[in-house]
Amino acid sequence: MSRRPVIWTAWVWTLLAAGGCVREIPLPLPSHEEELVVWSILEPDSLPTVFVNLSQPLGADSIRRYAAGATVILESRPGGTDTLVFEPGLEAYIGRMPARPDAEYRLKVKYDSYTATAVTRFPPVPQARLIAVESAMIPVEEYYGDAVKVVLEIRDPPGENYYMLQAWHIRDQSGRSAAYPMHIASSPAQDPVIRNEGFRFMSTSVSFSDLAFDGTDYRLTVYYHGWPEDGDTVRINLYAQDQYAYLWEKFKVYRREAGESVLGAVEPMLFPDNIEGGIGVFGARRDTVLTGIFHD
Amino acid sequence: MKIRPLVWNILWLALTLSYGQKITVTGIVYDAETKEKLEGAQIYAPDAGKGTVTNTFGFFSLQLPPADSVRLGISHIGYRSRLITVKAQPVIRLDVALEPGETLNEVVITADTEERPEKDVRTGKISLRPAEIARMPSIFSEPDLIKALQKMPGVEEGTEGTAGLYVRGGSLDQNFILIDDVPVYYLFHLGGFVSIFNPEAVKRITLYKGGFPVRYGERLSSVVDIRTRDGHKNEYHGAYRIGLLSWKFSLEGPVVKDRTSFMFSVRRFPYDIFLKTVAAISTGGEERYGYTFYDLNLKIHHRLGRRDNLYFTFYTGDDAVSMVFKYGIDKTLYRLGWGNRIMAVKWARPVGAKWFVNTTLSRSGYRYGRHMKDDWKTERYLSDFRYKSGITETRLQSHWEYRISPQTVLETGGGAVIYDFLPGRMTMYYREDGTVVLDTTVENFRYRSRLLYGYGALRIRPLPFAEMEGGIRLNTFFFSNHHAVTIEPRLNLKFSTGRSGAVKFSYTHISQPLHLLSSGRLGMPVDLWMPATDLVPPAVSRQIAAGYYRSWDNGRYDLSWEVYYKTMKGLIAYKPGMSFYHFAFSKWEQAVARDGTGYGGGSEILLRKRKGKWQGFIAYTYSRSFRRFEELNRGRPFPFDYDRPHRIDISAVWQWKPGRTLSLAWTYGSGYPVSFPSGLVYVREGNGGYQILLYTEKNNLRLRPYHRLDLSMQFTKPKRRGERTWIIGVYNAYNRKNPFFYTLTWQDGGYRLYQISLFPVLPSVAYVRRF
Repeated sequence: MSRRPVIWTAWVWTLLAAGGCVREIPLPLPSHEEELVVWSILEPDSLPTVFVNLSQPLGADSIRRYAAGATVILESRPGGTDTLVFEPGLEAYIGRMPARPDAEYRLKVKYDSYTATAVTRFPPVPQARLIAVESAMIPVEEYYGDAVKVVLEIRDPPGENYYMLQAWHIRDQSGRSAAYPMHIASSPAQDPVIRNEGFRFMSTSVSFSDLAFDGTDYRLTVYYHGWPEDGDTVRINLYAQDQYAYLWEKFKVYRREAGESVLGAVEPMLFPDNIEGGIGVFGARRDTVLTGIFHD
Repeated sequence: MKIRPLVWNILWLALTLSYGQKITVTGIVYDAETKEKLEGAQIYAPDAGKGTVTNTFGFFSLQLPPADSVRLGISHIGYRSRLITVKAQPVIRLDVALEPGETLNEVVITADTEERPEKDVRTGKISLRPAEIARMPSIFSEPDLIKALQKMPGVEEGTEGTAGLYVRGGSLDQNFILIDDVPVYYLFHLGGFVSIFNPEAVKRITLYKGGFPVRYGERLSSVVDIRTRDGHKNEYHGAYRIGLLSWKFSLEGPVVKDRTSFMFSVRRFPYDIFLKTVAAISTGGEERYGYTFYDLNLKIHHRLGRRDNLYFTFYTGDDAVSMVFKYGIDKTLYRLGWGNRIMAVKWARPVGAKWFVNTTLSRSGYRYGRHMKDDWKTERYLSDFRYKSGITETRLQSHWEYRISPQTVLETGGGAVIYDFLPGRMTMYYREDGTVVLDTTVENFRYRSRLLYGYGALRIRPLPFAEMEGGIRLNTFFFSNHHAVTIEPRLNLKFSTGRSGAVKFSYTHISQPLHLLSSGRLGMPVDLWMPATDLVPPAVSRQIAAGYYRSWDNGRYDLSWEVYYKTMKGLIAYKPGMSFYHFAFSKWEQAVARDGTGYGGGSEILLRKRKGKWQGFIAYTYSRSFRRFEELNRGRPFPFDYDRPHRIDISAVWQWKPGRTLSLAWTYGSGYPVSFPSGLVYVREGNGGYQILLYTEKNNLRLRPYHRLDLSMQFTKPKRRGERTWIIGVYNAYNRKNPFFYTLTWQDGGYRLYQISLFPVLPSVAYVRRF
């Protein structure tokens, strides 16, 4: 065999490697249609907080942080009408009447030529009990580490239900009690329900649906990173939430990694939307607090 | 039911036509030199005015009226025709050897009668031979079966340069890819840029886009039937090929002359040796990196007596990535590998004068594996992580063909499949200071499911100008404690319009008991096959198609024009934000959007010139394809990822003198849709906030249109033994900057949009030596 083919091959590969293939071509941005963006998640006995903003074109060179001057009205039955007041420090509209868990809420936002409305109501209080809070050694990604193992049992009513879970390590310091959020371990050993909801590294909360355990008593095991000492208190906040509060939480988890750079390679999550005349989320959630003593 | 009398009448007519035949001529037609069975050979009895064609195994059966002797003409494109006269008997057994014709030249694109589109009863069927594929220009002058199919109407390639296959709005997992009747589960090497099929080993490739034969099921959108070569029965022949992407070698010949033959071919990406060496030299031996892929095909054919044939098919192919770091006595290694393995034994024989049976026992599997190990002896630390996933199927199938008369053929058969799914198994081992800290296996789930299927179809010609094939396929899919039954009626109708024209209709109902969990738009090695379950039942598709088919000048030109409409249900997709890396296998249904539907339709035109110095085709497709999931795009329908309304392909091959060919291929397609943010919004969170991209609709923006021109020249010269060919090619000859993907980049205080283009003008060269 002649050596020519080998020489040809090596030469062309070298040429390609030296030249490179990837090219970046600037394109004009598509035109933008401004939208009224509204989001608010109600919690019982807390003052309603509503964020109002307008979308901006992708090429905008300054950030529009909020839309002041909107009229934001919250009607509740039973309850009444609450006109929310803009609080510049919070960049949000704040209500004057704490949310009532037995009421249905109707939100109305007017800003310039936009009018947006939405409705929500609170889900029932979640039923659960804490089974164990203890230390564990778990594989974390491709390594291993210490973790806090939390086991709780959720009594799930029939129908679609959505939850959110947070854990806090309570420590008494100098006579004062301080609560530190615990981070969910990115472990392959996590409960399948937790894994399948796509929690992310160092998440402090995870939202999940009851799809995998609808209408049953489900024992959930979650591993957290945390450094409690023997005898410390661990507090669990288990929230029941409506579908849009659930989607909003998931959206916040995914927003950083889905579709922010490569369009078409990773499917982005759409901005959740149950707002008529605008875009955004009006949801509600309420929690059950469970506490346990950590045993090393 | 009113249709019942009609069906009985048709059956009666078919049986009447078959009654009273006195002479049955049956046998095998094969290549006189290689002894390879010839599919599509014509057998014609001029005195009786009747004829038939051979099946995949070269078998034919022809019924003739009483006579003292029988004259038969046997022909096949590329072979010298023969006229044989034999003394009449009730059953005449006749095995016919055809000598390759003087006029045969590799550049001749074969177009036997069966391949003329108006002759076949089906819609949506396209056959290609390796000689055709070898002449098509291709990236890095690397001929690729799947990329050749991508140029056919109704087929989309997906991401540029890849060997994706999206047929009539179907997904990647909806193609039933068969090597000698054995399914293949993963199609790609080199990140999708090369398909696993080595053209050197292939005899014929047939694509069905609709009107599927009843013996095929299990995937919604297409069947790709690849037949490998049996090997030369009398002489040893071989070839090697040196190209930019791979080096190949093939050898074929007799094991026992006239009785047993083999065909062996191997292909390898050779540069890992170079890469490893360069890395080792530049790092003083501390680091080694490598990537390679290979394929190995082996086929053995053995004749057991006159009528029985045994075939053994073996394929293995892998991609392998490795990185090894050695620092003194400490070592870290990272290995990644994936590939297919196929093994099959087929027994084929005629039974009596009219039956032909082939039975196959096969095993096919795909596996993916990852291994990471840190062995740091200086710190007395050892960690070992292994991950495996895959699918394996064991299949027994038998296909029976009964040629009642040239016009009446009954096909029946069935099979049983056992699927073993391994979505993932992770083992972890850690040792510190001689103490085992962790030794565990997680996510060790295995699923087993079973499929039983049976089918029957009858092809008849109730009227001289009408041909019909009706059939039904019954599948029962068993998984855990559940089972799903699907009944799939199929119908193909053909009405001849003169000697060389036809109008056809088809209805196809098909189901798919497996789902592919696919991350992103490329077919990735980590994609997981999962069984249908009670929560995620088998997907189902229905398709109707109609078309007009015509050929002119004895098959020199042919035209196909088809329209179709297709619906799908039971589709799945990852929920947004979800991917292989984030979900648990035991409750995987939670991670996917379920009960998705798909719908779409289109019109496809293919005009071909298949003989002469100039050959080629023009293909145009207008099609739309949509998906709808409750959990995606707020429940609204959206364009499928590879929805491309317009697509044009023009391909031409010119042989200006013997051994010299010039070929060109131009392709144009509308841009694919992608999800694009409609704007920006600032979100306040806690004590801070952030600006986010506001995505409000899925697949709402189309990339720029795609087009490119590829050229290829081949110079073939006879040598003392065999021949050599130089292939010089240019991919993307006018250097079109086609979109590979778009990216948004934060720059100068705002987002800027960029198109990333991957392949500029790319010259290539390859050398082929046949002996």
